Amino acid sequence: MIIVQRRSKVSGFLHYNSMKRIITILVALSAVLSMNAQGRHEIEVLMGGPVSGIFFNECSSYAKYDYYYSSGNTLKDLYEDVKYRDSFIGMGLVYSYEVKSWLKLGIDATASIEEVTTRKGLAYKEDANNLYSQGVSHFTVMPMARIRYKDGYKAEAYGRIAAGMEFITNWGDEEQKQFAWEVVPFGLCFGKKDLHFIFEMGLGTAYMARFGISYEF
Amino acid sequence: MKRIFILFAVVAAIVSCDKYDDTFGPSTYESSSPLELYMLSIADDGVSSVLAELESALQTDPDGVVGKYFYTNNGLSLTADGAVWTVNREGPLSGATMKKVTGKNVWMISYNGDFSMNGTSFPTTFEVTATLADSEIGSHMNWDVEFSGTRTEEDGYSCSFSNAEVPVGFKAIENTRNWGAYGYLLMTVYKENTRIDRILMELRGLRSSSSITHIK
Repeated sequence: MIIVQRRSKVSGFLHYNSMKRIITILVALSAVLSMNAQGRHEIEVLMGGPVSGIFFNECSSYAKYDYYYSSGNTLKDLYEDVKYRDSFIGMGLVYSYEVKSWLKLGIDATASIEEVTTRKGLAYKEDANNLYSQGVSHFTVMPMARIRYKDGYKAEAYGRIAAGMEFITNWGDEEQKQFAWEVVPFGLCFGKKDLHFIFEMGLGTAYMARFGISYEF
Repeated sequence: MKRIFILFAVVAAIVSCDKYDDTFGPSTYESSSPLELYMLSIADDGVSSVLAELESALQTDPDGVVGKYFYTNNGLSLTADGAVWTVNREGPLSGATMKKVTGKNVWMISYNGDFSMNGTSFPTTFEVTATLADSEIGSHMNWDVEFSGTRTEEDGYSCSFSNAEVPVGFKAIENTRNWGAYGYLLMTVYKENTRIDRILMELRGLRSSSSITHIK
């Protein structure tokens, strides 16, 4: 019990530190970018998922497959724990400003929570159907460039490229950091005047698809 | 605008389906657990294979075609005192040696090689002492078996196994080439040579009626 409480405090502290760091970076960069901005500013609020960390981390959908179809044919099946992760939808906040008519620069921040589930080895009958879940949060901060491909009457086609850092908490007892990147080969922006709807498909650390609204001012 | 809302609804539905996708489902182990099946395969796949090979060799003429090409022997029938046979043919027990114990209907069999159990093949050793429980040699016999062995698997896992205290009875099942095993099987599991589990299994002749106990 004591151990659980202590872990909770540690992860909470790290979580707080990550949030503070992200907000500080965003505010500072936004201030710097705003001073030099010539064009319009834009704020995007997006929902997206799943977390595509499956490409980088040890736990993947393959482990989930192993869990359900592990037959216990080997001692490793019987005695080794298996972890798998289910992705949850993340929230994204993007600030950008117009450098050229076809180019916007800014900051992309994404926060998401996923569930990591552990299945104990199959050797003990009482553990065979017991799963232990843990929430894991991801914060990604990436400087970003958004490139307009084509501007139509009510729609705009664009691409996006971003690179930065990802902070992972509650994964074990220590915060993990890793390089983060995201490429959006194709996105669509619909709407009138300053308010737009956005839908985009991406590949990278933060999301694979997301949608939301943007406001230009 | 209508199209945009339809698009949003479709995306939300797809994401929701992905979140609650329950195509996979946890297995339940109402009958034999994976560990029971693993241990049963030591008796059913391992020791039974040894007995099948022994019975086959006991029916074989040492000077016949089968005796010469499938086995290396010292010219004595395996039923004769002093007989030593080695399995030459390709098969699960290729390389196993069988020796007759003088003056008794007892044979000692040893094997060291890759052995397939549960569809996986790993380095395995067997030392089996099989005592004929019947009054005379027939086509499919009952045996009292003492055995021990080891199996070395992937990622540092290994195990040792043996009968516990008294020999395990292997009773011939009529109209088959199989046996029902009766007795106790003891298995110790190691990870990087450190003991992580010890299990005693009671064998009751049929797979569904066995039981296991973890011994710490």
